[in-house]
Amino acid sequence: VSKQQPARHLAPDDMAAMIDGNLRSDEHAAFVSHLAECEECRESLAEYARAQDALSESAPPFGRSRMVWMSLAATLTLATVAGVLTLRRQPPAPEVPSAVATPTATPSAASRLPAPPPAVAPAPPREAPEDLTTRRSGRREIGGKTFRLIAGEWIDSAYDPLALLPAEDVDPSARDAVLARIPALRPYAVLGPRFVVVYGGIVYRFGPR
Amino acid sequence: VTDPVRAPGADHLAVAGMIRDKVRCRFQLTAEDFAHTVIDAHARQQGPRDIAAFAAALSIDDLYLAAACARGDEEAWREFRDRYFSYIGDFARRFLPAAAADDVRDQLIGDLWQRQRLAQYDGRSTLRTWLGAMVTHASINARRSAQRAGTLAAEKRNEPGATVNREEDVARREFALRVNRAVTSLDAESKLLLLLYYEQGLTLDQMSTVLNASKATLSRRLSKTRDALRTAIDAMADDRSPDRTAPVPHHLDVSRLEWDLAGALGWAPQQKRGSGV
Repeated sequence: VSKQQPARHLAPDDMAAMIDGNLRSDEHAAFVSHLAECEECRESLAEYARAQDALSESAPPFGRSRMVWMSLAATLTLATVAGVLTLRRQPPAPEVPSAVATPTATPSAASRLPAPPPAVAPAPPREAPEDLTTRRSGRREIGGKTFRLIAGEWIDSAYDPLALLPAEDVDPSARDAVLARIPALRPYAVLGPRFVVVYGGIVYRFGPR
Repeated sequence: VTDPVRAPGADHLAVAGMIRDKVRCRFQLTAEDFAHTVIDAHARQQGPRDIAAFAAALSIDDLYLAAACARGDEEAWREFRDRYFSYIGDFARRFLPAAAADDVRDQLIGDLWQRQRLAQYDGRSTLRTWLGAMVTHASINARRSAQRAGTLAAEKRNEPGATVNREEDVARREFALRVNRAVTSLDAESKLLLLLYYEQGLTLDQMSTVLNASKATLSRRLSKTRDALRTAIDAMADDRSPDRTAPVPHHLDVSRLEWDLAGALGWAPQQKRGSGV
């Protein structure tokens, strides 16, 4: 596909305008057509994308880090306010006139007070969405098998399309029934709605086809 | 680039007014003089957009900086240096070893300054994107020159997989032929999407940077494109390839398509490996 090299390549100026989305519609259509046919220009565009991506990763923009700190600060503030409000709801301990008693003021007060909330609750590990966006880290190992995320689908590394093994498509509506029928496939259900696994010499293709 | 003695017309007055609103004219270049640069850029575009819409779509402050640099304004060059010199070097180092990247950086800065390359910046992109594209172009050229001269390792020489067996190679080539035939039936936009993803190996993040679309949109379009490709391949199932005697296999399913697409799209007769079939 598209190995021919058109005589005139996209100039860097044109490529930059395309990247920033500032082309007229006729220019855009012409450039897309050119890129679809010209491997050299496609490679340049891809190289730019990779370099820009790498640069962004190596030096996160100030805005992004500021957002992280702002959200942490907001969490901390909310936790503090919640803690103070909780303490205020408790009847004041006779020994401590202040409404904002510390948990260690007296043993009796401490025993009535709830445990102070953590300043910043540890966030649960974020599950990466199992779609095309996880492609870069798209590798999982389950039950001794390795799966790779390819175009939104987890593929068992044992799967070789050229082996021409018998295959069974498992529609979402039949998923539970198949997992009930073949318990050995259940561990792979964590891969999400779409995956391909080889078991017992049969290729099971879960998900809508 | 500009002609400050030109008589101002209606366009010029409108553009100069817009410039005064949007640009902090911090160099010797006045809004009135800079308006000529914008009008000239509009004339070069020869597009249907009127000048107000054209000017509104420009990265106007970047263009002001570039125009001032092109006039040799030292203050402007200082600002340009502070904002972009390290970026140019960092970007070049994404492509080349440090020494070669420094060469590219120095060469490009020399071109921008001495050869007035900066005067060709037309504001259709930000200066940052434009410089990135310039660095990419220069770096790829430098890398190709170095590879031709044999000073950089040509990684493809040592590609794994040179020992695939004959049957597998034949099957893969058959598959690649059909995928490539099917891809030619797609529209240009879908084809580009597919090729950037599978042939060039970009992630959706990277594609969204250069295609101005969200990852979700790209993901949906890619999914539709794969469906279209599958349909096209299915349609070939009963064909006989004109240059082959073997019928197209009936079992070209989506899983196989996704598994092998990158290899199939990267395949070309001159890249044939192994058996020489």
